[in-house]
Amino acid sequence: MRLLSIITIGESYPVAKLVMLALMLIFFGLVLYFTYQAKKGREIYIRPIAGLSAMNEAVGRATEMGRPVLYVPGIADMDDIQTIASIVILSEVAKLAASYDTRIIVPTKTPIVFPVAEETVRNAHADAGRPDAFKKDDVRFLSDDQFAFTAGVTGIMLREKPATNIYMGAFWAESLILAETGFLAGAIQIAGTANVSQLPFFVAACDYTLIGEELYAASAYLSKQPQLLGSLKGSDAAKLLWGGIILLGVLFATWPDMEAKLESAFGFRFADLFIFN
Amino acid sequence: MNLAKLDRRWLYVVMAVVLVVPFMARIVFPIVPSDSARKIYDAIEALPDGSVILVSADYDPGSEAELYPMNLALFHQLGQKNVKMIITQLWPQAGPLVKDCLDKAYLPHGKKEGVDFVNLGYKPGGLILISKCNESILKAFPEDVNGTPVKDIPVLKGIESSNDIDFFMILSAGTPGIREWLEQCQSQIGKPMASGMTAVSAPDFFQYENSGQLIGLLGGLRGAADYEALVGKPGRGVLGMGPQSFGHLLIILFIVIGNIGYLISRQKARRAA
Amino acid sequence: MRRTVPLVITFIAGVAMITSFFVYEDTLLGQAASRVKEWGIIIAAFAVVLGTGNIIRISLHKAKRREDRPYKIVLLVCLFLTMALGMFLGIDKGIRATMFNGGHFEGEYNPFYWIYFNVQLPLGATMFSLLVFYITSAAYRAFRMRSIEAGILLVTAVVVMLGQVPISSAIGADKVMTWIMIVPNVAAKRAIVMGAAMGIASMSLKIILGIERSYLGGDS
Repeated sequence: MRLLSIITIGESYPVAKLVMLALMLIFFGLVLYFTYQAKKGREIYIRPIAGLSAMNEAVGRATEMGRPVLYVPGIADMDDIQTIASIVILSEVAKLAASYDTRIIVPTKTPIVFPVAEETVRNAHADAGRPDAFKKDDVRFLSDDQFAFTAGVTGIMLREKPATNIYMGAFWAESLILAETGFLAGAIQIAGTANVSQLPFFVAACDYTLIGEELYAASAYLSKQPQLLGSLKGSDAAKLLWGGIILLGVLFATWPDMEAKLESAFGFRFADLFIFN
Repeated sequence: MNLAKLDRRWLYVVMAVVLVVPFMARIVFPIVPSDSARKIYDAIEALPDGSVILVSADYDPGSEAELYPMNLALFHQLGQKNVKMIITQLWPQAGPLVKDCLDKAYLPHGKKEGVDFVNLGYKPGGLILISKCNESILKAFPEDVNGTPVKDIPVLKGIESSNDIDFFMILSAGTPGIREWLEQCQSQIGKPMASGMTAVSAPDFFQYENSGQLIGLLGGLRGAADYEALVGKPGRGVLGMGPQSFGHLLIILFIVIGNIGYLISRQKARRAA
Repeated sequence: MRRTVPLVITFIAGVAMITSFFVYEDTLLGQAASRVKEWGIIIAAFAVVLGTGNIIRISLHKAKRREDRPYKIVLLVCLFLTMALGMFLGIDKGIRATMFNGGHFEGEYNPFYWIYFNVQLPLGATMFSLLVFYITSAAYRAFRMRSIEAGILLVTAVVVMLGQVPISSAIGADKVMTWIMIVPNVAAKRAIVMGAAMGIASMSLKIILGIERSYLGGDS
């Protein structure tokens, strides 16, 4: 076993992995650079995202109508990035609801997300200066089963009649049942998920939908924390780089001679840089 | 009656009737298998004797209606071939369904457990488990579903890791499933992979078929019907095409009715203004 | 300490798993990462036990407080009964059980198997089947020609649905559907997936470095 040797670059080592390492380091570097810039006070612009801009209005609507806000943090466990993003958004929404003195109901599907959500909402109320307004019973663990959880949430919608439903996180087949029931109950609905297959259902039944990466951007958008804004900018900068690489790849794939020319000049094809096997 | 605002309960009742009647009347349509289904079928048929195929049943009772018929048709096909089969499950509730498929479609072809196939059962871990299989199947699944140590199972002799498997067929209803297999397995080792999945997931994975990472994909009950037609064992997939077709046509009709109602009410509003 | 220890564990595990992708398996780092993967599988198994324990704890707590008491009692009884049946009688169609005294018990009929195929399976399939009614009302309400984009959405939805019907091959709708699926659909999905992947990578980096700490509960 090679104790000290971490990487040996030889003929057998895939060049694509080296390329991936380089791109990864560039990506991390960009994220960290812009995070540092944001912390130093540099102004970071984010384009308006309709669903997030509507969050204030949605919670305000619930306050005016005297009805609660329902926040569903998805059905995945805490190890899913979407759930983590959702908990960050929950913190901001709960702070907003607490400042407006509006109830926020948070049903959870997994036993591990439940205490995290409970503590997040409790701390949000404390941060808003309303620790007394926090109701422990409003953060609920319903069931570990997908459709039993769905039945529980739709029951909450029909009984408690929330004015605003917010679905943020990982959703699967239950997305349409939740969104459609929420629509029938008369709530304004904002949804966000990176599960692409569920987006059409949310788009059809909700007033606002955050698509894919907008869910991850939401934490930065709502909190306006410099490090989060900076990391968002960094990943956008990286996306420009990836876009350039994709365009290059399209060029090489479209003009077959270019690959042959590259191979004769440098000994490798453009595609070899990105295929592991 | 406002066509744009029909009571949804009428929609539900009509849909229920339109689904149940063709099912009871056993209305069956001729099936023309898709190119994608045909590619999977041909790829499996072309596997030489002694090849190793891994079938991962990553579904549960909720998605059973779409994926069980695919599983059954696949096992019918594999039962007629002289290939070794390794079965895994990344979802805990898939176990009894897979055993049922084996009893109905695979074992009647005279196959023997341990000699022709092994059922490694369910293991938690999702993508970590798949990644571990790239290194060592023995370490990922020390025992099969019956508790027999994997190193003692004849069919697994000479099979150390995913690199020794010739074909992957993933029946996937969500996460963990085909996306994790593609990320952790196919992209790392480059072996042929195909998938059956729920209809709602299928549009997400055409991109992988387009790039060649998936040989083909079976989407929902239509995919199951295609595969049953190719294997020559029509079952619930083919039978389900009748209700599904009428259901789709009914939704199209409702959309048209809704738009007619919408246009009429828009005209009325314009005239009133 | 309460927050520092998880942050340190996250950092070490995150860096180890990323690095393991680039190193050879037979290096120290590669072997360590391989071992961490095995631990991950074991932890995932414990998470199942933890989840079940949490369900029992929360259900008992709610039952004591008379919150949904009948439902919680039903849940707990079904949970323990199914668990006991599966553990002692096995999960096969027939029963092949080893008794405590070492003797064997065999039978053709297994209650666990019956519960799975006659209760669990129909209930799961039924809940999934509800979607057809929700899709019907959502499609009826949402696919209206309010604008050009909405019209394109409407026509595409109709063509794709028609393409799924077996008789559509007579009118060529299946070919149009296939083109829609493999050209514009793939293009859009690729873009969304790449964007989401960037978001995941960025979020993961923030979690590994401890910039994002909300998953520990409370503020960042």
